[in-house]
Amino acid sequence: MKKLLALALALCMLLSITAVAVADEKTVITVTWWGDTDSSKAELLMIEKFNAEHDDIEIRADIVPGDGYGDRLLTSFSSGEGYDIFASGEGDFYKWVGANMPLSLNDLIANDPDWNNEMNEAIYNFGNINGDQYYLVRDYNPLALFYNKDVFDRYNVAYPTADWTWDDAIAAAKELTVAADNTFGFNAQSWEYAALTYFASKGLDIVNEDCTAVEGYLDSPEFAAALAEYVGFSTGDDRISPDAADQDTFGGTSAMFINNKLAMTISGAWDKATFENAGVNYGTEVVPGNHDSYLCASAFAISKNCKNPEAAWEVIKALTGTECSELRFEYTAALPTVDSLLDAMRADYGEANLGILASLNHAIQPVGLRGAIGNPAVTAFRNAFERVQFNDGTVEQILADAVAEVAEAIAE
Amino acid sequence: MSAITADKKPKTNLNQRRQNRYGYAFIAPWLIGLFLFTLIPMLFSLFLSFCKWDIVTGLSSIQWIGTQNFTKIFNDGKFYKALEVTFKYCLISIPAYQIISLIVAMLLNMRIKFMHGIRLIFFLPSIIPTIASSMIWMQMLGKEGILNQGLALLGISGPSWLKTPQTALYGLIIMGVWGIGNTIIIYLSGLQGVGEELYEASAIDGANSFQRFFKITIPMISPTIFFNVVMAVIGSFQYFTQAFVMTEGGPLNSTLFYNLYLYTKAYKDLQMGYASALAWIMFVIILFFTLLVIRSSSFWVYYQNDDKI
Repeated sequence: MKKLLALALALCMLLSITAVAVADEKTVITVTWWGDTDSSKAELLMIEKFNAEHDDIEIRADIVPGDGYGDRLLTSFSSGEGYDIFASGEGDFYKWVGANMPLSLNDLIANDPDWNNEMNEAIYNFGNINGDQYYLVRDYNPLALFYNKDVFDRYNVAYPTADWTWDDAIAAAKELTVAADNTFGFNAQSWEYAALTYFASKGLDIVNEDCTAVEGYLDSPEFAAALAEYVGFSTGDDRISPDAADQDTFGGTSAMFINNKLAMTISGAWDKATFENAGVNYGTEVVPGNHDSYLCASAFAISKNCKNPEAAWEVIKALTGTECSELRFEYTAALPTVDSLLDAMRADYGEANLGILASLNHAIQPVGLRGAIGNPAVTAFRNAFERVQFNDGTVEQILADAVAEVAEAIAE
Repeated sequence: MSAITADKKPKTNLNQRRQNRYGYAFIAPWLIGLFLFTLIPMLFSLFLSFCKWDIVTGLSSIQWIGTQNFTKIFNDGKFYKALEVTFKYCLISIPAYQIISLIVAMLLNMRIKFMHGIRLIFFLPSIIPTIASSMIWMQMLGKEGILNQGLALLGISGPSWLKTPQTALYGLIIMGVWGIGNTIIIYLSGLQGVGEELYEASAIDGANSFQRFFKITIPMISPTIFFNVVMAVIGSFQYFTQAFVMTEGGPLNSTLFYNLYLYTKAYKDLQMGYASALAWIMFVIILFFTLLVIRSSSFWVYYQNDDKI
């Protein structure tokens, strides 16, 4: 009897182990991105739905705070563990491809003829590096001119319009700069996207059209003059833009805008919620000049280390598809990647934000995405900008050094 | 008699061996830790310093490139800039912190009421996490920060310390005074070890305060000074966190500390081989200066026990 009982118990244990093994047969796909649970409601809802609908795949999300995301990603991949799917900002697209981290999606796309890709073509092409599709965009933002209506009203200056030139904008900024009130008319930021948007909207660029050379662009006399002028906006006693010390004193761009100390700044839709929540009376308009606007984006990629790329493909499609884009707009007001959704949401986007939508028609790819020398060119520009700011040589010499820096980076 | 000795000897050896085994067993966790988490990574980093590796694509992508990393480093302008910033910081901060710490320790060595509480106040900043104190100091060193408000009382218009290339490094050095609590405590313990009889004897001989300080206090606490200087040399060359959090090496590379540059090369530019080579150069520099201080100690460090030999 005892022997029978022992046999039955052993059988039960064996069966339970088998059951666990069967349950564990689900393919687990790990996904990481930066943010927090509040800003990731859309993704989390999508993952919950996906996991409920799929018996064979389970998504496990790891949301990492923005500041430590890059380091976490690197250390995780260098330890050999990594993630199956990871998010990246467009500024790092080339960097990760150069480090051989993302998997080319070309074969997965070719083997999935039923995939209904509704993504806007230009947005979709953001993820194409050197002819291979590596990334699928999850959200994007054009840069627009944000203006504080209360500051304009206080000094009786007319609001910006779509036909403003930069001369108009700077003339208004001068009127809006009142030292006694610690109010500045324009924010000539050192953030390279805002600065390069300014130059692009004046018809200037730091690289040639096919992003293969910087000579004659980054060091052109026109660019040197424009850079000196831009830096001059935030220099000296008659500055119309806050300098680094002012930003320090008044708590940075957003705080200054919210506290009616800044009349105009170039920013993206991520500030929409900040300004709305703070109750700022603001408006948006296309960037003055030719309206060229840098497009910022973030995207998902499948890691080359992923052991189940087919399962990861199903996940990445869900996280960048129409349904998730709709959820993202609902919860975080991120612009939809699908044209039909974009048209549908225009009415709900708010009049104050129409300038952001209008900027979409003038969106251009950031330099870093246009070719292999894009990132070195941006880095060289960033260094040159800082040197001009602190008078570390003549503008011409500094830009000549920047060109040499790019050449050195390419040679490496 | 010899038979008894012969009987006892093996027992003693057996006990000795058993005790040795216990000893080894007790230090085994530390030895294993040292081997696994210090020696092996160090040797691996030495190997990497002769290789090219982007760290994200796995060990299989490591490429042997010989001494190329070192050749490149010695032609790298930023390497020299990082060295300049680090040496400048060391040259100013090491003597300054030691002098300030010693002065404060001497004040804290006085016998007055509430001294324990006052000592606690001086030590308190040392236990505040570096990131938290860095955030506080970023505000204190701002254009309208508390430091400039103090200077304004003297009629001086202070700069935005961390946003100005000429002052950013000095801002970090000023901030460092905040964290000298540990050094103060060590000096305090050294001062408390100086015998009262020495001061009494010198007073009878007619020595004044300065003479007592330079002829008694300094020689008697010279081992403590030696220890603090060695630790300060090592710590100063490894300066990283505050610059990483507060200035990111800027403005205009004025706070580009060596370790910050090393970190940038490893984790931003994905050049782990280059960064490992930088680390080994720093290792040699720290070793050189530490040995220099140790070698020089025979000229200026006084050990009381030496007199007894």
